[in-house]
Amino acid sequence: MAGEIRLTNQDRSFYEWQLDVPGMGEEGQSKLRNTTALVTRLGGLGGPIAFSLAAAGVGKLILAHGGNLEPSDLNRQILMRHDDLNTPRAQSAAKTLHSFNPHIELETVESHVTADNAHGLVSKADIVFDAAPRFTERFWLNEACVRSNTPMIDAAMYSMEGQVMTIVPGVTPCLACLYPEEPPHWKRRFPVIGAVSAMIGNMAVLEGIKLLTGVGKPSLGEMLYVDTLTMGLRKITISRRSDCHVCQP
Amino acid sequence: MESEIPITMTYAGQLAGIVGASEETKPVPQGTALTSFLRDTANRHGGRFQELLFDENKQLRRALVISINGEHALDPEALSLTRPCEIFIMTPIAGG
Repeated sequence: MAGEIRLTNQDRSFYEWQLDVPGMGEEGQSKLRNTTALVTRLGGLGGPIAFSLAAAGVGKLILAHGGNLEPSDLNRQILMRHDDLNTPRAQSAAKTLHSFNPHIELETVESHVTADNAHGLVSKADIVFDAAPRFTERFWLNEACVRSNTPMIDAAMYSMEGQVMTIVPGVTPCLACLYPEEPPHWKRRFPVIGAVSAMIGNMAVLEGIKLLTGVGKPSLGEMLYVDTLTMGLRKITISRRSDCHVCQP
Repeated sequence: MESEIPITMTYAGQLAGIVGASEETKPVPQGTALTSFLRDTANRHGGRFQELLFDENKQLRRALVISINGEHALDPEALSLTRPCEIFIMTPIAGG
């Protein structure tokens, strides 16, 4: 494949234990190495997502998160550092990721997803991880992904529960099939323990890795719902809406 | 005589918090419309529960996730409860 980055011996040494996962091997690792992933918001969900993508050796991460780091972010935003309070979150996250894995490429965008930038950001990525805390951002991303035929892993949480939905345009329902209208009661501030958001974020990463490498079976057409109060996992079969304003012609 | 069937409601996070339990089972006459059952359930729990399920025009909110025996109920208005089942219901979440 033209422009494909080949695994180096150094790559092989870093990912040696991952290469042993059945189905992964050099082929799977090479797919990850040649992937660009967009992670929108780097908070309780997006931070662990970016961290685990970096650990897995995804070649390039586009990190989109606006605003400066605040004290109340630090119970869950594991890429951030106390020393970086009042500085841009995206920069703090990139510093941590670079020190953790200096062999991957990082691009920072000091902005949240907006109606204006969603299509541009998505067009640069092979896969999108949606970890935004507002439905409007999620809907913009969903639409941009459907329009550009880019897979999106949607992760969300509230308090002790969370959900993950893998969206493959043309194959699965989209986010607007699940939520055909913006929920009126959702509030920007939500209760969160970092361990819950990290767990849901890592489930999203596994869905992405499976989709990219062909290892295992991604949960296509299903929403994974986790209740950490009981450690219950539920799979709900989601159907495409015939009148979906996003994914239906 | 009209026969009754047991319906198990399973509530996710916010709804479970309001009800004080994640699950409850109620007998209903076979053939009851799903929305009618949900309206009775909402009336029974009242207040915030009712507000999360129904809008100001008393219509079921479209962004609720409702599944019956693990299958997403895309069009709850069209469904009736004809046999014992589990209805899972969750309010939308977007926490990041």
